Amino acid sequence: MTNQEYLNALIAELMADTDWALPPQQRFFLVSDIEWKLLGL
Amino acid sequence: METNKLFQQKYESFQKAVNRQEGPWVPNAMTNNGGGFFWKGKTARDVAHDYQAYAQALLAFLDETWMDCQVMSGLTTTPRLSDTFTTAENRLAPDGTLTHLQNPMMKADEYDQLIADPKGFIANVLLPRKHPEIFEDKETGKEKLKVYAEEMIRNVAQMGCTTKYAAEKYGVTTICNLACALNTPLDHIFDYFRGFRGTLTDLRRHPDQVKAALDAIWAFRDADRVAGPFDPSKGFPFQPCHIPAYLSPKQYKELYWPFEKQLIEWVAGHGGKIFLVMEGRWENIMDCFLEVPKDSLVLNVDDDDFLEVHRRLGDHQILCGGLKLAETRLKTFEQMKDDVKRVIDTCAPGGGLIFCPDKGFVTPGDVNPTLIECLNFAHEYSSK
Repeated sequence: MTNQEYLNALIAELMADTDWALPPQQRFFLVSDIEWKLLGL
Repeated sequence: METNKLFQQKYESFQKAVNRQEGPWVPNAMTNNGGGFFWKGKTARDVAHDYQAYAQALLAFLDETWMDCQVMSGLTTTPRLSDTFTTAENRLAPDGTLTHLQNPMMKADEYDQLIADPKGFIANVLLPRKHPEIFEDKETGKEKLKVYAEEMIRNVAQMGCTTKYAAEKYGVTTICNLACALNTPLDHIFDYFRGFRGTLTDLRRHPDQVKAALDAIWAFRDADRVAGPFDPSKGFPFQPCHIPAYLSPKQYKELYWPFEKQLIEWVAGHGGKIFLVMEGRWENIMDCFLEVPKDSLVLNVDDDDFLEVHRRLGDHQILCGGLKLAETRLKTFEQMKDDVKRVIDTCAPGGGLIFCPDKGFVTPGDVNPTLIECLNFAHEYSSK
C-alpha cells in the first residue's frame, strides 16, 4: 500500500465513522484537496 | 449613529474608492492577523472556546479606532491545531503571536517526481515527512485527522462570527474572500516545497527543472480553475505574493509574471479585482501591473515608497496602504501626522485610495496608540 492509498483509506474510515461527533456534512475538509491542505497547514 | 447606517456609509466610502470616485472620506482598512488581541492583553488561547468572546477580544481596539473595512480578522490556525500539528507552518508562538515557519520537505533532487505527479508526490513523499504522526499507525493518524477536520470547521465558523461582529458592531465591511486565495506556482514552490534558500538556489542551479515544475503545478492547481467561471460578488480573491521581492526582474518576468497575468486576466475577465499583497519591495518589477486591465487589482503596498508606487501605478490600479506600521511603533502621532496628510493630499483626489497600514497586525504592539491616532486622523482629515 502506498502512502497515498493509506491516507485515502484513513479518510474513508473517518467519513464512515458513525461514532464521531462531527456531522458527516461538516467533514468536507477531509475530502476536498486534502493532500494540498495538509501540505500548507 | 445606528450601526446599519454606519455600515452603509462605510461601505459606500469603500465602494467609491475602488471604483475611482471620491466618497465621503477615504476608507481605512486593516489586515488583523491576530495582533488585535493584544490591545486588551488577550491571546487566542484565552478566548478560543467562545466564538463571541474571540471576536470581541480581536476587535476591541475598534472601540476607539475608525475603520471602514478589513481584509480579514483572524488567524490561520487555532490553538488546538497548533498544539496537535507541531511541524505545521502556521503555529502560535508562546506569547500568542501567529508565526509562519517555513518547513520545506522537498529535496533538490526530487523535481522529477514533483513534475511527473504532483499529487502523488505530495501524498507519498512530502506528507509522511511533514506530518509523520499521521503515517505512524492508523489510530494515531485518525485522531490527528479528526482534530484537523474539527478545527478547520471551527476556524471557518470563527471567521464567519468575527466578520458578522465586525459588521454589526463597527460597520466594518470584509472585502476579501479568503475561500478564494490565489497564488502562482513559484510562490507554491517557495512556500510549501523548497523554501527560501532551496528555491533561490534551485533557480540558479537548475532553472529548467524549476520551470517544468511550475508548469506541472499550474496544470495541477490552476489550469482548470482559470478555464472556469469566477464569481466577483463574494469579495476580492486574496493573493499574498511572497517570492517576487527576492527575484531579479528577469526571473520575475520569466517565471512569475506569465502565471500572475493569467490569474489577473481570469478575474478581471469576470468583472473582479484581485487583492494583491506586494510583500517586500517591488520597485524593479511593479511596472508589470500597467500591462493588465485598468483597475483589475487592488494593490496592497508593503515596503515600497507609497507615493512612488502611486506616481507609477496610481492612475492604473487601485492602491491600498500609505501608513508604515513599524513607524507607528516608534514615533509619536505628531511626528507622523504630516506623512498621513501627504498621502491623503497626493493620492485621494479622484478616488482609488484605501488608507491602510503596510502590514497586518500580528504581534503585541502592532495595534498601538500612534496607529490609532493616525487612522482616526486620516478619516477626519479626508472627510468632506
